[in-house]
Amino acid sequence: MPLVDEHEQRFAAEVDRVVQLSDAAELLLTLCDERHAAYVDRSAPAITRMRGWVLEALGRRPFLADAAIPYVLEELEAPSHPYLLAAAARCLRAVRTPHASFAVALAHAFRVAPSLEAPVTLGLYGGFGDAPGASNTSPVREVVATIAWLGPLAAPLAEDIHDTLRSGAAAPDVLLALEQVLAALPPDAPRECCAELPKSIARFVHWQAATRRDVDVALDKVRLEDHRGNSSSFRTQFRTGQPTIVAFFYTRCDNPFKCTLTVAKLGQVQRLLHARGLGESIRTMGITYDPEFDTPAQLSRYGVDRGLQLNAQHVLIRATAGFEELKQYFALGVSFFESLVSRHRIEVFVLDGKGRIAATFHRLNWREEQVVDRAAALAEGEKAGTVASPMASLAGLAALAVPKCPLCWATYASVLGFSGALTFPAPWALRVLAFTFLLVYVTGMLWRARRTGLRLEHAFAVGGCAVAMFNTFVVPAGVDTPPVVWVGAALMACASVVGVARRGKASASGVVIERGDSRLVP
Amino acid sequence: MRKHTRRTTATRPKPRRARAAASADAKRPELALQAGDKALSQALAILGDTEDTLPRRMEALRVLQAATFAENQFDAIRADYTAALRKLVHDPQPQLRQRALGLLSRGRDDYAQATLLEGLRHPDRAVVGPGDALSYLSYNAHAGVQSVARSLFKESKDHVVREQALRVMASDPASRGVIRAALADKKEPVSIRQMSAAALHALDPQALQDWAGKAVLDKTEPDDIVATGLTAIQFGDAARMSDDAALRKRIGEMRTKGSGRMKRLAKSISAKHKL
Repeated sequence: MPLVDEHEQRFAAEVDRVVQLSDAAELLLTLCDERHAAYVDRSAPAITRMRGWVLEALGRRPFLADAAIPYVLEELEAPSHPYLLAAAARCLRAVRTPHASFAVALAHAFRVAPSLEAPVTLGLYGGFGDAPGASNTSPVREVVATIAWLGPLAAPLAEDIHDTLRSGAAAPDVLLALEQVLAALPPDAPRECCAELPKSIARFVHWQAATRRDVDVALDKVRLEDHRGNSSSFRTQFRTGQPTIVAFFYTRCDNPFKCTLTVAKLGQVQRLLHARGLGESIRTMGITYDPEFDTPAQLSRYGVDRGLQLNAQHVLIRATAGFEELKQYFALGVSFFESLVSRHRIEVFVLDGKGRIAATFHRLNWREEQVVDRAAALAEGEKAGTVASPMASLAGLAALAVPKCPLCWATYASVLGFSGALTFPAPWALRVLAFTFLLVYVTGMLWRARRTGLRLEHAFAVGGCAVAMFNTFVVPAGVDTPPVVWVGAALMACASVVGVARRGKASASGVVIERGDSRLVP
Repeated sequence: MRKHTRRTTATRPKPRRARAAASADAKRPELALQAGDKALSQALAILGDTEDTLPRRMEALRVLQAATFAENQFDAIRADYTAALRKLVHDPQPQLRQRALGLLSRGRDDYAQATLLEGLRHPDRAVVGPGDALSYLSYNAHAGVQSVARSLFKESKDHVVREQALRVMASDPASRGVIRAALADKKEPVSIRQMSAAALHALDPQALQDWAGKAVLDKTEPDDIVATGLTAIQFGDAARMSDDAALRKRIGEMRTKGSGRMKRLAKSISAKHKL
């Protein structure tokens, strides 16, 4: 493995080892994250080689997981390097079945690939050189092979393919492969582009915060400076009572499909906001990843050149202090080599009027309308929230009076009984009531057991319930029969105590992880 | 009455540059390339043939490079062309090595960058000298050469290498300290100090202004450095200027005394900052 340092050699060997393991997919997925320790203080070319090797490894495994697909599509949507593009195109073919939405990224990759065309050796770390078993290919060849893999779903690319064939702008083997792709397309295949990503994949690139909460980050350390050179704190910039659309970028970014495009799209967001009369009620903000280099003058020039309207409401910002805290707050997907960004993903956020993250769009290209819709809904909600808040407070106070536990119910029943408000029902009615409560209790317990797995408290609960039912309906307690119903009640009480104790312990550790808990999945 | 006649393109005398180009055309070796699609493949073969003469191989490279502008035809051989250039990086002919490295580096080719960095770290494996390697690597700010450039700047005795290192450091905020020190160091050559001033203009304008004020007041500084200081002050803040009485006085003196260049710069600053 010539021309790479020891760290990369160790990394490549580790990936080769991991790929043999049964949980390889999961381990390789962690290496796709820009924030992984392996990428800390590595140069951009080194990270390109490392990520390319990870994509190659993922592509060699049977069936790519949904969570890995955004990383692959990202390289096709924002291609910047021949090796990464070729590796990503090949990796996509490891998906179990092609999806129509992949045509968007592939169409883009097909248009850009000729400008990145270079010899690439897949199967060899770094993508250059010769080795036994390695395959000599190129970005265009891999993209075309993946288009062929799409089959009839490649129909939206037909026009682009025709253009290439007409101009002859590709190597003879590529032209032949393209002819075969066209020949395989059914004549009635729909040509319009393209389907949305399926939800199972889309949830990894765009999500709304289920609950907006303050993140425990020392934001007082953050000092910001805008494109006019005005200084401010995090609070004054973000806690203005208005939603803010935030995009991250840096002016030295050399990938035209990332920062330049993001800032140009932020300009389009501003125009959409103004067209909808929201320009004064929703703020936009671009924050640089490179605060040392991006001075106010640099930011201002960069923004204006890309069609941004810059004023007090719509700003470009750098952090003159506390960039680490800002990075933590937004969980930014960025890595650095010395003072320069070496890799980052596309990242756009919608923040509420208190500066809390309400929606996140990242990695893949975002649609301006979608972001504006989300911010508009938030602005509308906050307006409604201001009016409804006294009502909400009253409802909250009323909720306090509602009985919520067996002891409360018993107390309320006693009060009603003493006051004579509750008349003694007929015995058959009491039995129906008891049966209904026990049924609700058992159903609730089984539902919990399905989410958490069977535990000791569930055994106590079901056992207690069975005893109580037996003593109530099969052999009722009488003069000659001991009241075993009390044993049942005691077992159910044990179930409650054990369950509460377990939850208390989990809360103290700060994490509550349950099977199928969607809170852990973005 | 004088008769005005319009000169045609044929009758107009050729400018010197056009004459030089025509003469270079006449000296070019004949490659005898076939017409049509095969010409570029033939040129690639000549370029890669180490037995062929240097002028013919240089001409083949020129033909191929010119063809890169005709995108559609060139796309068919673009990958082969890059592969041929990568081979030239290790060619015995230094001119071809240099040309290939220049072309690949402008395209931010990973192989060329890795080879150049390898040469900087292990001089026994270098395909070109460190000055040239830094110059090629400076085409890509993300090449990861900044720390190597800093250490070469500190350690090298070669003026060219140090200048190239400074060019790389000019876009690296982490090099600000080294650049500031070089600018203030009177033992550094004037060209290094001037380049340092240009680098600080982008990286740390405030530090440049601080230095410029001191340099203009320092009568032991050479004229070239004082002129650099005056040029920096031209880009500075007017309010800051008006607060510094000593600097205002010195610039006032320079308007009447000193060389023509100093007078011009001093007058220009006075006009801009309304002194």
